[in-house]
Amino acid sequence: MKILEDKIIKEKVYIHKYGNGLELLIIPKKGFINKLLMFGTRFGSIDNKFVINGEKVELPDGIAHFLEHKVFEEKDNSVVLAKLSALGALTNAYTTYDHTTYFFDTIDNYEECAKILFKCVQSPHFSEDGINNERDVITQELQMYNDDENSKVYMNLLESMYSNHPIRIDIGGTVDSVKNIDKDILYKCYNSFYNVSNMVVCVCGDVDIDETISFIGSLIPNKIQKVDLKKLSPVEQKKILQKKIVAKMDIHTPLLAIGFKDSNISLRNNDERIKYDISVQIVMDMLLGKSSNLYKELYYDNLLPGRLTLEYLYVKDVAYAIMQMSTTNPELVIEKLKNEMKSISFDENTFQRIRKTLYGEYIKEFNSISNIGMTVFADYMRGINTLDYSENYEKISFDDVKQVFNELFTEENMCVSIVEKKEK
Amino acid sequence: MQLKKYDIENNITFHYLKDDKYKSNVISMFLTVPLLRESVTLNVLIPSILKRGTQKYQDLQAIEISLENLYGASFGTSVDKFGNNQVLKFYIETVKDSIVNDNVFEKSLDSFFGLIFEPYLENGTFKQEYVQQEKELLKIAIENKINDKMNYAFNRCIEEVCEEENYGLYSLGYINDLIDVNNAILYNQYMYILKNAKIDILISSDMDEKYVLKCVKDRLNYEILKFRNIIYQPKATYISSTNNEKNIVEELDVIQGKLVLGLTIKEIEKFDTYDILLLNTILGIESNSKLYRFVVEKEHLAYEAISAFIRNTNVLLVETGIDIVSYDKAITVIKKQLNDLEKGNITKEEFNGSKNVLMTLYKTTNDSAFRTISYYANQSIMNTNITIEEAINKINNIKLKNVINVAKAIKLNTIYFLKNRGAK
Repeated sequence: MKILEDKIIKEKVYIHKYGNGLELLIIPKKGFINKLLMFGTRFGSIDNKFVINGEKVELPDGIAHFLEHKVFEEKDNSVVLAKLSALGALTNAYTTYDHTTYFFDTIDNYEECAKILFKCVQSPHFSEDGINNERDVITQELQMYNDDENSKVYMNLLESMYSNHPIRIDIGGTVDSVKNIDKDILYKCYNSFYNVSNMVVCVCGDVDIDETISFIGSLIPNKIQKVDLKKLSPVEQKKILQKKIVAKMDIHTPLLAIGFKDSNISLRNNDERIKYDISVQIVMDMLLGKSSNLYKELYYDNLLPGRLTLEYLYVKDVAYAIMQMSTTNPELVIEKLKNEMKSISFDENTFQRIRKTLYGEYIKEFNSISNIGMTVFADYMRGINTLDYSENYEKISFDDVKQVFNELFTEENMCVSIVEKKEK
Repeated sequence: MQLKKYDIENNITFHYLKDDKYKSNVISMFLTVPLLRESVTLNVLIPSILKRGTQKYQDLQAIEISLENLYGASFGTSVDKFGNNQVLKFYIETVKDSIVNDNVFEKSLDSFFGLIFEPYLENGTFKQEYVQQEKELLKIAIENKINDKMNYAFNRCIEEVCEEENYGLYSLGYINDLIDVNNAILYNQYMYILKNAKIDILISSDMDEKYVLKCVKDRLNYEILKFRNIIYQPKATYISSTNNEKNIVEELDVIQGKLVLGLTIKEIEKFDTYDILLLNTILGIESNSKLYRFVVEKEHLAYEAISAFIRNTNVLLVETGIDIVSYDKAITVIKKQLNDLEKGNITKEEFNGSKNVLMTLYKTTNDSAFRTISYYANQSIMNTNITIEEAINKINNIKLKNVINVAKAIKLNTIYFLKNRGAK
């Protein structure tokens, strides 16, 4: 067993690997009454080309997400979700770019709920009728996002930024692409990716380590048949596909997303990825965060009437920084940002302060069972140990940050997406 | 977990949660005043103007830098409707002193009370430039209410159901109100709130109770707070039931239709609140609810179908996003669920399972400082004194007939549908 520890904030993550390859993460949280259990697989929306047992397979868009919806259905058409809710567990599932996970949090009936969830994830039943019905539900989910201006501006940005990488496709696919999903392909994906050797369990709450290891062990098969999986990585050019995209919707104030394509992610090891992540966040806060000069200028010019989010996202072989906001004049904001990128001189005191802020935010993550469980889980799925962040906040230097700024925040890497008001 | 409650001078209530499991301290203040047409917009502007500058930190940027220096203290505000009241909420969250070895708690109290009681003034009133700008930004925010279509439909339905009541007022106020607002009017309203609001200060931290109480008392501005006369409305908003249900159809550019049913509960005072909350859980909270099982799973009309009981009113809403052509079908299915509740067609699994869900929601409140604080603040505003444990106990003892009696008192008031422009 491997134990990761952050001595300053007094948190630990225990990692156990079973003989069949399943990995278990335990995050003990003393004093909390809720328990979170997550059971997930390294199969997400960007995993779409494989060689499975020697056969080359290209998967339809939205298949991982479709599978997520179908796993909750059982043979007798009863739905596992209702059973778990009835026991008092709040249950859900989600699909990301690189993983799919099923989870619940509960206070009572923890073991019974775990047994139900494990049984359902390990022996789902797909029928043609069930698949057709679920396609209707998924279509409504996709249409809900199609009406959402924030998803639109974000998805358009990724579509323009990437020419080939599947990150440019919505996690759920499209209304058309889900029409091609049938029973055979669902079983094929299930059998390939829902093999416990490809899966991770995470338990977060006031639990005993040894008991948890033996309990979870009792819910999984001892021996499994290995699947020979080889992921085929997409070839993505460094260049932005299309520098700007504009869409129109029935909204009032336009939305703007500015992306910076990071093409060097594959060159970095895990420690470097963490450092890079923190550095990008610091750079974005120094450029456009609430204490920055540019933010002040935009705010005083009534250019930022709503929410502003600054985010850096990285998974396996893809990474980008994104600044998303509601603004009365997208073109002017882009212009001002470009000017700021040319003229800004970073100040070391500001760097120290922002670093401290981000460290404080990291600490606050540990207040909630679900936050911490989901963060540790998602990080683990991309090969990162969340607790390694702590010491890296210390390690980052002012020079690191300046270097990241010069490397990533260039006009060459920049791409913009705008959603404007549709005139009637 | 129960908060200790103290009445301090000048009609101010202090609530304290001593906590050892979270990484951060939460300091909050709730200012409750009657929800009135003439002041709804002004009250929304107050927190916005307070965030612009204090005597110590005279502009946005200076405030933000001071918060960043406190390990990224997060300061937030909101102005919410609650029954016949409007509640101005202020929060600050900081990491605990013990983790960072720094005196963050006292400094964050200084910042917090400074932001509320020591605004930046020029010639004895708010700075004109700040007022003008916040008016402009609020105008944009109000215009943006069409952006989030589901939320817009939800608010429009409330507006229709509560046509005659102040609860129907739009939570951000009205553009026309802004025209005549100037710094003097706004400052008067600020002083009015300090003199007349019900004030609850709620803190969660690991510090000694007496010490925290003293810290708070030392920072209250007694000059402003003396001779306070509290005016607020603990009584719930009550909408009379109608026999003429309204059908409202509106058009915006949407791909998916947004359907909201507004319902009222007749003679609500005859029922225990927990009976109503349980009915709402059986109807549409989790995946074992009637709406989820029938609208989503059985008829696959939608991705989500939920119900919401608006606390401190007698209004219950059902909302879902559907294909525009499914309108009639969706209404039939939703009405059937309400009818089944009234006829007592509630299985043992639905009844007990929903009880478990509702109890879990209450129990998990004890795992979040924000939720615990919010729970007790609401108790204080409603002038009730039920602990979370008592609430759980009450839910556990609810009889099926109580829920059926509530169902019998439910009357449909409004069907609101948002569809695409020019659709049949």
